[in-house]
Amino acid sequence: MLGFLLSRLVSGLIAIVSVSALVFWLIRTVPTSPALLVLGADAGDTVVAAFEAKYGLDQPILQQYATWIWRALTRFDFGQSYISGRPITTEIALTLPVTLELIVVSMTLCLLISIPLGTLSAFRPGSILDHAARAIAVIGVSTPGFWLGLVLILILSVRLGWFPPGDLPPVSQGIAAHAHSIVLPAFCLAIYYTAIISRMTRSSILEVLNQDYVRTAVAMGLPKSRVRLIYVLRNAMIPIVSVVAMSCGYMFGWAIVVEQVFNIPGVCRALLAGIFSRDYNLVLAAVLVITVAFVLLNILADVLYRVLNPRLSW
Amino acid sequence: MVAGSALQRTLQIARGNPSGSVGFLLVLVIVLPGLLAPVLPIADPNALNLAHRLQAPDREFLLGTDQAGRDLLSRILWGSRESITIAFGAVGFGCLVGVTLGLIAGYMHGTIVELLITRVFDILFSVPLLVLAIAVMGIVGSTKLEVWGFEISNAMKLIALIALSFAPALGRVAYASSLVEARSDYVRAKKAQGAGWLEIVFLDILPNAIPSVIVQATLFVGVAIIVEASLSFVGLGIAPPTASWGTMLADARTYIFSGEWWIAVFPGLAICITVVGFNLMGDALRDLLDPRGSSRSIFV
Repeated sequence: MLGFLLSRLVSGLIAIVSVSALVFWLIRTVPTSPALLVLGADAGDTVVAAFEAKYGLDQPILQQYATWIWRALTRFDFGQSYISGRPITTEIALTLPVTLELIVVSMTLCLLISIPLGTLSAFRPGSILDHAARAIAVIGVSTPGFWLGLVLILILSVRLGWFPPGDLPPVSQGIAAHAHSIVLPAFCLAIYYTAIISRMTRSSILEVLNQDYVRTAVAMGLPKSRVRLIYVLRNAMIPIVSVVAMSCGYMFGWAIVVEQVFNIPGVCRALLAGIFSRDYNLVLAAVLVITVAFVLLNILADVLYRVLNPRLSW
Repeated sequence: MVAGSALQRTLQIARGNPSGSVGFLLVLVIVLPGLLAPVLPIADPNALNLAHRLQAPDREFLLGTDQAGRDLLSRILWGSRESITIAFGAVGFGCLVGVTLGLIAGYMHGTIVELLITRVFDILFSVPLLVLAIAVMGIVGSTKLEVWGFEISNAMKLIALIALSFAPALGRVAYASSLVEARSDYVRAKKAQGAGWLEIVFLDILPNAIPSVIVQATLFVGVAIIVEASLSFVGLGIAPPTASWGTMLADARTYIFSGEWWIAVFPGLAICITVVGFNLMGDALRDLLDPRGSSRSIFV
């Protein structure tokens, strides 16, 4: 087990370093120096040189990267924003919890819909409900979340006025308004994985239903509900657990578009804002934070899969 | 006679897979007019017509017009060319890289080459590639990129980045088949006859890996279309004024509150129809070609 964990950690660490190094290198090779972005295009050479010396931009790129990643990973120090002058760490601390909350709410919503849907269609294969569930799943994986967001805003917010069309007021302004605002974006982020997980639940249950131990339990005369809940559902959920962890990681990617549509002040929108305002320290920090979260969720998925499948070797 | 029996057989397969046939038809409905867009009697997708701006769907403009008076139907059809080109390019390129590596890794079972390649796949799986694609497009997107004298267009960058995210999954599918085939008797016989590894990998093993790769690739076409639209939507994909579904939806954001619903609805419907089509086709192909299911489910 230790060897397995170690190998996954090494892969993850290589992924983190290569992603951040690639982004770092691209940023530093962009023709426009951050100095010119901040000081204006007509800044004199001496001013630019002073700026670059102050932020260490005159050092060799490898050294710059080493310093940056060391500070980032050991002290959570990502430098300061060239645009606002504030420490990037503050920016991340303000925005990351918002995205995490969005993903948690979204995954909860996803499970509340997909598990019952998948279970019901597995216990009644070929029924109208099963066909409907399949149709929902096909449409779910084929609908871009951001477009669903636009359409839902159009119908539920603009026409009917049931939900706010965007923004996420902080909890301090009232938990009801906060919860009300997060429903639509969470649903849009959830739809893709709702489709995937409901189908996986269905096929996983059908597989378990064919196992000998289920037949034995039924033959022994155990009540149907007990067999279904304890023998079937519990075992069928094993593959789902690790898919849930992995899907949470993938949600960071789709959250970029969803946060943009609903104007949600999360770390993914901060990444986009950083790209467009050329606040490259913010871009670096956001990419690093998201990559670390993604890697950790992936490792968690692998570990859970093996913990729940004792037959698999480590 | 031969053509007739081929047609009969196709019809037979289609009857056995109603949902796959529906998928095929949906794809055809979008792709065919897109291919024919230059010769179809439709408006110029980029012709500004301020007299007819924000026109609701009517007889003259079947799907309405946008804020510059451009015909939405025409723009959606032209946009399908962008989406399909990028999706097929990305899946094709991803197959080329991933499948080649996967086949070699499987054939070289037990060597350092296998270890190296599977390690690279593992690492790529631990990278949030959508986030990376957005960061890379954001940093290099606006600047003109030239590599060895070739100018790299935005579409090519998108193809490369999306392909990178598909390559490891496609590679693992090929790797799985290659592992099995490399140990089979016929491959050992070929080796004994003195066939080189290139010949064995590409002439003997590859044909056996193709069915599961095709299933996976078809499902990825849909994902690629959604990824391209998402990137264009946030302004990091196809650059306006070129018609693409994502940029059209980005324009639509402004008009959602003033009631011009058609700008937001129709391009998205086009995406949905196309992706549903490819997914239904992929599902049907899975039943047909890969019933044991070594191809993975659709994840980005």
